[in-house]
Amino acid sequence: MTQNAMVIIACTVLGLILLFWLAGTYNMLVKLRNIVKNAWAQIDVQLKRRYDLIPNLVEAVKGYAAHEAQTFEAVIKARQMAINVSDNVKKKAEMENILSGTLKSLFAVAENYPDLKANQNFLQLQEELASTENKIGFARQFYNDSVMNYNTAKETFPTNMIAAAFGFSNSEFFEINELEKQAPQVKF
Amino acid sequence: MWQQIAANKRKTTIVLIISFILMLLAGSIFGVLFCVYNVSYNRADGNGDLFLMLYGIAAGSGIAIVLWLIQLATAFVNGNNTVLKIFNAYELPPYSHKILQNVVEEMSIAAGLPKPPRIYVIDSNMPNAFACGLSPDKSVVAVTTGLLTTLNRDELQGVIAHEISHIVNRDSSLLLYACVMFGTILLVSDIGFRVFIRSSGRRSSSSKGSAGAIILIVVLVLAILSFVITPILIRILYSMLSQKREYLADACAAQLTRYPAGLASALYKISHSDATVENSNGYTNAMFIVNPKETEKNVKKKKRTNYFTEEISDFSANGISSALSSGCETHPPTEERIKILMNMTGAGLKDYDEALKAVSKRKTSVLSRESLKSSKELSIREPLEDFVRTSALPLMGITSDQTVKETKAENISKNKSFYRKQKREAEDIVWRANGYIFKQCECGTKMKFPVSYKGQDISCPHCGNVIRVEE
Repeated sequence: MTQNAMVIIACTVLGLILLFWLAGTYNMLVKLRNIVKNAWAQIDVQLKRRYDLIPNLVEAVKGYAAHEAQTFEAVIKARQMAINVSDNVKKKAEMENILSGTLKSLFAVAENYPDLKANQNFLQLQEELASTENKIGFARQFYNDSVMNYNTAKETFPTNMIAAAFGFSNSEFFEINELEKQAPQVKF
Repeated sequence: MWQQIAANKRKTTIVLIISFILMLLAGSIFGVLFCVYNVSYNRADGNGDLFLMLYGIAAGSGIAIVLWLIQLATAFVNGNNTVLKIFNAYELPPYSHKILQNVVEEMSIAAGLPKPPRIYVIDSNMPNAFACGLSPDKSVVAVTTGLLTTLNRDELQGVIAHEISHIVNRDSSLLLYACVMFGTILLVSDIGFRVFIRSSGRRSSSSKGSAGAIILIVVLVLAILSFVITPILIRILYSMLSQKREYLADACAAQLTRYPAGLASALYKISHSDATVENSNGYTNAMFIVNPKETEKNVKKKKRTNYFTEEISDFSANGISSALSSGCETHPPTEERIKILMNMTGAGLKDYDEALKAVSKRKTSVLSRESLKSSKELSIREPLEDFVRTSALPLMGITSDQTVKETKAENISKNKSFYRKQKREAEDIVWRANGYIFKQCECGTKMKFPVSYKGQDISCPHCGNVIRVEE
């Protein structure tokens, strides 16, 4: 009788410990996954902001440098392509890189027009866009960090058993073609 | 990062407990003193002293607990506003100073804050900044107008990254608690000390009952100990709390911005500024990026005014603690911080740790082992054009770009002439102090004469003009 009771108590205690550990690990995984989700949302916000700013910028430059039509077309086309990619992280990163490149060439064009560089409206747009580029870079930096944290937690023993049982999937890095370690600073 | 946050949360609890104990101690001693003095003064025998003491302890500690709770509530509800009010800070109006807003947003994104902190501005010529707030989503970053006018974008980014690191590491919440709690305890012990001094004059006329006298002596010793030592203890504790986290925030700022020289140059400009911050005191100094006192010291060297020491001793009434305060600074020396940042070979936490060990020659690491382990290899980025032009220090992270190289050389020569000018100014002060007479010739030559040359005619070594040295 007393022995049975002891066994029951021991089992309950062990079971409770296991349950708490399970719940704790599960919650940690969910927390990490949410950080990744939020980080992605932050990138998305900044990318959208860039899509919104680009037409204004093109308009501002057009007034001063009408015959640089090729550059404008490239920018607008790259923007449209980037908007059309929706879910694939890798593809999205690729398109955004192309867009960044065309934007750089647009600002290089602007360098040749002193009148344009003195325009207050253009300067404001330039600061806005430069900052948005920075924000995209910093958001990507944070997103990749949180993906790394999440993936590491998910793959290490014994957490990986729980992750597999509850179907936690791997997250993808937002890679860029240049050196990923290079700082996300943009000079126009 | 996580380990750091956990450690700081633990420290916050410790601060609360220590402040509670100190409050209780001060309260009970104060209570005993008050009761024993007032009553035994009026009575012929000292027999009731023991009971009186118990009564005093109960009353004093009761008052102390109430005060402690009020402090806690103040810190919790109004901590931000209290600190901001001390400096007359006002919220940055929307649509103004877009660059500052952008930089703050960029850095909070980089640090992964749920939302950017609110930005406050202080009207002051002295460049400086601080962060406060009990939790990351209630936090505030305050900058002076002087900071905005003296720093370029890269430097501003470094400063804001430093402040945001304080918020992320929960340093600002710990400091805010410490500020409010210890500030109030100090005030109470100051008042206690003054009351004690005043009443001890009255005490000498009544020494009745030998047992009571012994108890009184014990109480007196305890009282002196608590009123003198408590402020000193708090100071030491306080500097222990805040020195390490300055290094850590610098390291995090370098990692977030990937450009240590930005913060280094900003620190240089801030610590070499002429202006001063009003309304700063020994307990809020720890909040700023560079201790306002240190900037004052530089100013003092130049202008030879004694303004700040007066302000400090006025705040912490007893001389011992202010004499000791110089021994335990809230910040590591700015020059060392600049050196460490400039000696970094990469932008990661590990690079900072190595530079720190090399510069300060200490063996133990300031950063936790876990955060060092998770640190990645990060390279330093290129500076912005603006920074190349206006940096106070030599540049780092420069690529092969020819024009940038030229500007770098220009920048360094500019810095050299700046140092030379500073050295000459300092030498002139010494000459003047020794009674030398300064004379300028028409050809531009500056000459200094010893006192013995007074009243003589001297010819200029360059152009031969005769100059008269007046009495």
